[in-house]
Amino acid sequence: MSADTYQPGSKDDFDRLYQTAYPRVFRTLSAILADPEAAEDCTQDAFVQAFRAWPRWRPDAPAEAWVHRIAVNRAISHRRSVKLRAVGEVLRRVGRPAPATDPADEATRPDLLKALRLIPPKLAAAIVLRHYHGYNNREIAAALGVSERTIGTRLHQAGERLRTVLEADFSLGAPPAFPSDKRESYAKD
Amino acid sequence: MPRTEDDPLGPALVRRLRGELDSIRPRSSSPRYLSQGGPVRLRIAPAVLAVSLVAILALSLFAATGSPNPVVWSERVVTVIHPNDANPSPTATPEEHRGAPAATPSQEDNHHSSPEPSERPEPTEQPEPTEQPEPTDRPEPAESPEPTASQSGDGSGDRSGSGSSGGHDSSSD
Repeated sequence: MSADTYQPGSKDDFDRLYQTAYPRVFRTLSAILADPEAAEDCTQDAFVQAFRAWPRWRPDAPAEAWVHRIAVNRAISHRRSVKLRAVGEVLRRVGRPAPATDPADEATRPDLLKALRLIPPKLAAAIVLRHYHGYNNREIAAALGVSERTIGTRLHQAGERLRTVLEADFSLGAPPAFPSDKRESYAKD
Repeated sequence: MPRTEDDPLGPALVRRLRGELDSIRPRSSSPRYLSQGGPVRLRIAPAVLAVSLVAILALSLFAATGSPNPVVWSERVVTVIHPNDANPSPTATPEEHRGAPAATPSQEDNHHSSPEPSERPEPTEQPEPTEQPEPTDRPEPAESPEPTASQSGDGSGDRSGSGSSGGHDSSSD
């Protein structure tokens, strides 16, 4: 994260921030929402909101962490609205058979992302920021606007709940069905 | 699966997480913020401009009239025009000038009310000399007929009587 290279209010710098941070923010929201279309929509909304507030951004916080904070809050709001819509749909369909899910969609969606979708979004965000983007607890705390102690608690709860979900639905000992990991330089805190 | 306090997921699960997220490729869509227009301050600029113009207009009217009531702003124009219509009555203008200084003494200096009384006595003085000759002319013909009636009676009596009296006298005589 090169926070000192961005100037608040500069459109060229915001374009550069978009080019750099958009794929990473999109993957974070994909992990939280487990829906590529919703993740793209929320990511675009987050960058629109960040662009409006870009003149007020202070360089003391990393720009990408600042955008992550906006995006995670946007994803939490999206999941909340989806949950409310789902409750309304359930009430509307009382007594009727449940709609069948798309088998193709279920087959292509990665298992771990489905498990992340089942835990609270704040816990999922902490997992992704810590174990995928490589933020330390202090950076996550700055990005999400909470204390480092809270981040430690969230990471612990997220690990426990994610393992519970995976043990219930999947086998944890299965070999990973993905290419070899290229991020050997993953920085542990 | 080995787990530590700092890494509750374990290395295998972390590798799965990275691999699944790396496989996600965002679509190359155009940035939405470019089509949303500029920052908020640029989008609300017309509204701010309109509000500032209204505020400047209200302040100028307040400074001109000395009253924050918008009704007074429109009434002041009417009161300025109205005294010009009331000029022909000479007795009303002194009463108005006696009442006006007591109500707003400070406004006399601003509105230059001093030239107005100087203009109003002029038309009041002009009718007075015109009225004075009229009564002087009228009594003369009014008085003149009375004596002239007696005089004309006498005269006519003299004239007619000269003939008639002479006739009576002549007839009586």
